[in-house]
Amino acid sequence: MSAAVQSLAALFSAGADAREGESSWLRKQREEAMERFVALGLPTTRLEAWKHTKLRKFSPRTLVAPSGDASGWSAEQLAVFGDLGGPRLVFVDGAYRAELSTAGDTAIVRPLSGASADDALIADHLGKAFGDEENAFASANTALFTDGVLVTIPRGKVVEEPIEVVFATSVGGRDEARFTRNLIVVGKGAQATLVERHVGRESSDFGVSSTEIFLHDGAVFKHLRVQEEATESVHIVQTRLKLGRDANYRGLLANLGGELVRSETRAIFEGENGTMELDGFYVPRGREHVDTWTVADHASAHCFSRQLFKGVLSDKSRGVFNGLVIVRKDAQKTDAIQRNPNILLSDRATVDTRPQLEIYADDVKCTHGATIGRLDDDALFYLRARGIALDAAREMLTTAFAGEVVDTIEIASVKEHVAQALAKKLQGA
Amino acid sequence: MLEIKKLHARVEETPILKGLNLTVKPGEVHAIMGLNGSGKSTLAKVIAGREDYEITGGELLFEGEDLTELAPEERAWAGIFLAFQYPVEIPGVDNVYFLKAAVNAMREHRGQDPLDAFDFLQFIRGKARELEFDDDLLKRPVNVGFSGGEKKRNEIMQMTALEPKLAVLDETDSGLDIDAMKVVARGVNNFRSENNGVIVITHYQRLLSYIVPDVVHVLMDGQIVKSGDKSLAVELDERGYDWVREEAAS
Repeated sequence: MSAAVQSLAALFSAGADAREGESSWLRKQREEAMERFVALGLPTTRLEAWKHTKLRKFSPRTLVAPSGDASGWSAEQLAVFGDLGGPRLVFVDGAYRAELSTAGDTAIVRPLSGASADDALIADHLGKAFGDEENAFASANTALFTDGVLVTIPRGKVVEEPIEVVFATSVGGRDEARFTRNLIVVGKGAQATLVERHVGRESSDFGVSSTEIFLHDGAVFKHLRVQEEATESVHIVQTRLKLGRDANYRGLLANLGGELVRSETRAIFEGENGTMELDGFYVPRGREHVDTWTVADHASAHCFSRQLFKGVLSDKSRGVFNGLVIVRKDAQKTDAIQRNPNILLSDRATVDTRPQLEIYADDVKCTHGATIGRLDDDALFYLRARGIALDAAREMLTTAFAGEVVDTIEIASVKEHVAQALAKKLQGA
Repeated sequence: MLEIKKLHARVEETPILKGLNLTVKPGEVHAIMGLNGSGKSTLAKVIAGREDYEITGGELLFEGEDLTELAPEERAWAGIFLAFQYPVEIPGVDNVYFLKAAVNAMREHRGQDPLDAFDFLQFIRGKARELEFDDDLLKRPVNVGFSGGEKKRNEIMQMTALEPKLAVLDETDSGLDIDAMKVVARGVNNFRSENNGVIVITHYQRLLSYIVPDVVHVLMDGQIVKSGDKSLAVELDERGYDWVREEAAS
C-alpha cells in the first residue's frame, strides 16, 4: 500500500468519532467506500483512463488533515467576482465558514453537512450518480468528504441569481488532504446557475472535489468551474451528471492552475432530447500536468452533446484529453460533437489526445476531432509587421485561441476575471 | 531612404533574389512589375522581415541603417509598412483591438502617449470613412469573412493609421474591382508626400493609371533588369515581357 493510501486510511480511522453523529446509511457507505479505496489503491498507468497520468510523485506522500486556517485570505480574494446577486458559500479546507459566507435561501442552497433534515433526499441521491464505478478517488471522496454544497431547486422554480461557492485551501499548507462533495438536484422544469471557484496559494496540497448532479425532466443547469489551485497542488475534480428528458446542462471548466489537475466528467442522458454543452480550456506551464477525461453516454434518443476543450501548453507542461462519446443501441438521432484543439508553445510541451466514439445506433450524427499545432506563423508575422512586439503578438494569438471558450461565459464579472487570469497565466509564455 | 545593393535571398534552399539593386528616395513612388515567380513578393517580405527568407548576400539599408538584423516589429517602428498580398485572417482578435494595439505600439516608439479607447475609436472611424470601410468591420475578427476588397481596404486603412515612411504594396490591386481600386488609390495618393516613399508591386498597369509612379522597374529572375518612367508600364501591358527578356539577354 502506498504512503498516500495508508495515510488516508489513517485519516479515516482518526475521523471515526466525528462520524458518530451521521446517519447509519452514510456511515455504512463511507466504510464500504474506504474498503474499496484501499482495495483499488491509487490508479496506475495500466488503467486505460490513467494511461498518460502518473501518480508516481504523489503516491509516496504522507497526507495529513488540513489546518482550516483562513487567515491567508482577504475578503476580496474570496470574492473576486463581486456580488453576483445570489448567495456565496465559502469553504476553507473543506469546512463551511458561515462568517465568510453570505447565506441565501437555505431551502435552495446550504452546506451538505448541515442538512440532516433532508436525509431522505440525500440518501436517495448521494453516491447514486457514481453508480458502481470502480473509481479510487470517488471512493476516497465518499469515505472522507467533510462538506460541500447541497443545491436543491424545487420543481418549476427558476433561480435567476447565480449561486457562488468558493473552495479555498489554507495558505502555505503541506500535504494537506481535502475532500469536498457537492450534491445538486434540479427539479422538473427548474433552473439554476452554480459558479464554483477553487483557489489555493503557496501550498502543496491534495484535493478531491466530487460533484453529483441530477437534472430532472426539463431542468436547466449552468455550471461554471474556475480552477485556480496553487501551482504545487494535486487536484482531482469529478463531475457525474444525470440528465432527464429535455434537461439542459451547460458546463465550463477553466483550468488556471495546479501541478496535476485531473478533471473527470461523465454525463448520461436518461431521457430523450437532453442537451449537454461542456467547454473547457487548460493552459499549463512549467511542469504542470492537466488531464481531462470525459464520457458522454447517449443512452436515449434525440440528445445533443457538444464538447470543446482547448489547450495551450508552455514549457515542459503536459496535457491529456480522453473524451469518449457512447451512443447506445436505441439512441437514434444522437448529435454529438467533440473537439480538442491544442497549441504547443514549446518544443518540450506534450499533449496526448484521444477523442473516441463508440456507436451502437445507426441513425446518428457524430463528429470528433483533435489537433495539435503551433501558433500560426503567418498571423504572428502579420501582427509583428504592424509593430506589435513578438511577446505581445504571441499573447494576442493564444488569448484569442482560448477566447472561444472564455466567450461562452455569460456572467460578465466571471468572464472578466477568467480572461484576466488567463492573460496573466499566458504572459511571457 | 531605402537602399538595396546586390541583394541575394533564398527560401529554404531555393535562391530567389539574385543581386537586386533598388534605391527609393523620399517622395518617390516606384512600381515593380514582373511575372509570377520573378521574386516580387519575396522582395516585399524580405523588406518587411519575414524570417523564413534568408539573406545570403548584399545590403538592405533603410535611412542608412542595416535592416537585416531587425525583427519585423522593429522595422515597423522604423517606418516600414507592408500591405499584404494575402491579408491574414485572425479569428478571435477583433479588428479594432488589433488596430489599437498596432497604433499604440507605433505611438509608443514615437514617444507619443497611447490613445485611450474613446480617442482611438474617433481616430480609426475617421480613417475608415476616408476609405469607405464599413464600421461593422472594425468589430469583426481581423479579416475573417471579409471580401477581397474589404481586406485590401483594411490594409490601406492600417497604412494611413500607422503613418509609416515607406509603404510597400504587394499586389494590393489583385482581386479588386474598379471602384475598390479607386478607393485604394485615393488612400495611397493621400499618403504620398515629399517625406514618404512608396513601392507598388503589381502585375498590371491598371493600378498605375491611378497611382502614377515616378519609376517603373521590371523584376525578372531575382534581378531588376530594366527601369523606366511610367510609359514602361504601358509598354509592358501592351507587349508583355518577352522583349525585356531578350533585351536583357543581349
